[in-house]
Amino acid sequence: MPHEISNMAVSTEVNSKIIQLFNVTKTYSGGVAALEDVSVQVERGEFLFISGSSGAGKTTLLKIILGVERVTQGQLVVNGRNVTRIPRRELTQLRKETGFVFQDFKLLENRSALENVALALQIRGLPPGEVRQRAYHALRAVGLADKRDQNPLCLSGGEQQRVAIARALVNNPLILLADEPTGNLDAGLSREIMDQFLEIHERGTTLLVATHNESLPAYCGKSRIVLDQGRLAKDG
Amino acid sequence: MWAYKLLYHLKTTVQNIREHRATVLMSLAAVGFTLLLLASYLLLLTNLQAIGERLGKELQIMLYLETGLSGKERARVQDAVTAREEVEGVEYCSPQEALRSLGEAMGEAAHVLKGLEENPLPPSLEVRLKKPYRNLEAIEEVARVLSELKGVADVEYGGGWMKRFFAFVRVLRWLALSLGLLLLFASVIVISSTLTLGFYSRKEEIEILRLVGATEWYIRFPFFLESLLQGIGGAVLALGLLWILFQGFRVNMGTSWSLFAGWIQPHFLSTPMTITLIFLGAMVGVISSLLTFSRFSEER
Repeated sequence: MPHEISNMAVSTEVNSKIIQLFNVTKTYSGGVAALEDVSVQVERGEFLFISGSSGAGKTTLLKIILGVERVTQGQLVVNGRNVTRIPRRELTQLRKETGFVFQDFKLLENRSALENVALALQIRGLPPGEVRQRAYHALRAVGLADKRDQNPLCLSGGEQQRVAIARALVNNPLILLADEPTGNLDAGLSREIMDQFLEIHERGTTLLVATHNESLPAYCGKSRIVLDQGRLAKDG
Repeated sequence: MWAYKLLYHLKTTVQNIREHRATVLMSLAAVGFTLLLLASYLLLLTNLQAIGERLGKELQIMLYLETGLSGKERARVQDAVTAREEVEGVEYCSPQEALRSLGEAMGEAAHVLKGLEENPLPPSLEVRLKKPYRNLEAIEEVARVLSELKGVADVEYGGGWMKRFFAFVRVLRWLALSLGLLLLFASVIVISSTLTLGFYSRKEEIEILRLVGATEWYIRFPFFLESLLQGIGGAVLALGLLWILFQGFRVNMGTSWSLFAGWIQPHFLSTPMTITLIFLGAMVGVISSLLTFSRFSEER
C-alpha cells in the first residue's frame, strides 16, 4: 500500500484517506528538525506501524496528528480537517475523535482505573450514571472490569496500559494513536497489548502505532513506515 | 449537559481544595487579612464621614447686623434672607437675648457680664438652611452672598474648622483608595500564586484532559471557581473579623467615641458597602484566575 505521496493537491474533503500529510516539516525552536518533508496517507480502518530508532520523529508525527504540535511547513489533513490551521474549537473536537495511548500510560495516580477512564467521558457532560456504565464497559472490553476500583499504582504495567487503552476507546474514536505502547512491557505483555489492538482494528478503528520494536509489525502482520532522522526512509 | 459539567467542575474544585488544604487556608487567611485592613479603613472613614455630615447639619449661619438699624431696615434684611431658595428659616436675636444666652452659657462666670456698662453684642439673624444645602460648599456660598446685603456687619458659620475636618476626611478617602488598590493587588498576587501551585500540581491531569479533547474553559473552570471562592471567602472572613473587632470596640470604647463624635454612635459598614466588599473579593478572585490562565494556556 503506497504511503508516500508527492505534489498532491490538499483536499479537506472526507474521503477514504483519514490522515494525510503533505510534505510536512516540523522544526523545534533552536532549529532542530524533528520531521523533514514527510508525506504519508493513511486509509480509513488501516493499522499502520511507524518504526524507527529513538529521535527518528515518531512521537512528533503522532503529536502533530493530535494537534499538540504545529506543523512548521506542509499540510496535514485529519478526517477532512486541515489541522495545519485548525481553530481551537475544532481541535478539541478532533481530539475527542482521536484516542491516544502513551508509553508512560499517563494515568492519574490519585484516581481509580474507572475514574481514569471516566475522565474522557466527563468532559462531554454526560450524566454520571452513563459515565460510570460506559467506563465500566470499556474496562470490561480490555479485561479489567474486576480492577475498576484499583489505583493505577496497584496495577501491573500491562494492566495500566490496558486502562489507558480503555480510556482511549471509551469515546469510540475513529483513530487510535499509540506511542511506544509496549515500551515499558515485557514480550508477553506486549503481545497481549497487540492482540488488543488487533481486536480494536477489527472493529474498524484506524490505528497508528509508533514503536522501535521491529517484531511488532511482523507479529500483527501489518504494514509500516520507517522514519530515520525525521525523514521517511521506508514505506509499506 | 452543562449541569453535569458543572457537577464535575464542583467535584474537581472540592477535590483541589481538599488536596491543597493548607495552601488554600493560608491563601484565604492572607486575602482575609488584606481585605480586613481595607475594610477597617473603610469603617473608620465612613464613621468620620458620618460625624462630618452630622456636624454639617448642625451648621447655621449667623448674620451680625449693624447696630442702630431701624426695625424697618432689620425687617428688610430678614425678608431678603428669607426670600433665598436655600433658606429654611430665619430667627432674629436681639442684643438683649444674645446677652442672656451668653450669660446662660457662661454659667457661674456670668457675673462678669454684670459689670458691663452697655450691651456690646450686636443684633443678629440665625439662618437655617434647607437639607440639600447643609454642606460646606453651599453654606460658604450662601454666607458670601448674605454678607453683601446692606445692613449686615459680619457673617459667621464656623467654616474654618469644618473645612479642615472635611479636608482631613478627603485625604483619608484618597488614602483609602490608594491603599485599597494596593491591598487588592496584593490579594490578586496571593490567590494567583495559590492557583499557580494548583496548576503545577495538576499539570499531568491538565495535559491528559487536553489530549482527550477538553476545552480550555473546561480545564480552567475549577480553578476559576476555586479563586472565586477564595476571593469571596477572604472578604467574608475579613467582614466577620471586622464585625467582632467592631463589637469589641463598641463595648470598650463606645462612650469615648460618643464624647468625641457628639451623639453619633459608631456604626458598622452599611449593607451596600458590605456587598461591595464581597463583590471586590469576588473580583479579586476573577482577576487572579484570568491572570493565572494567561500563563497556562496551551501553546501550539
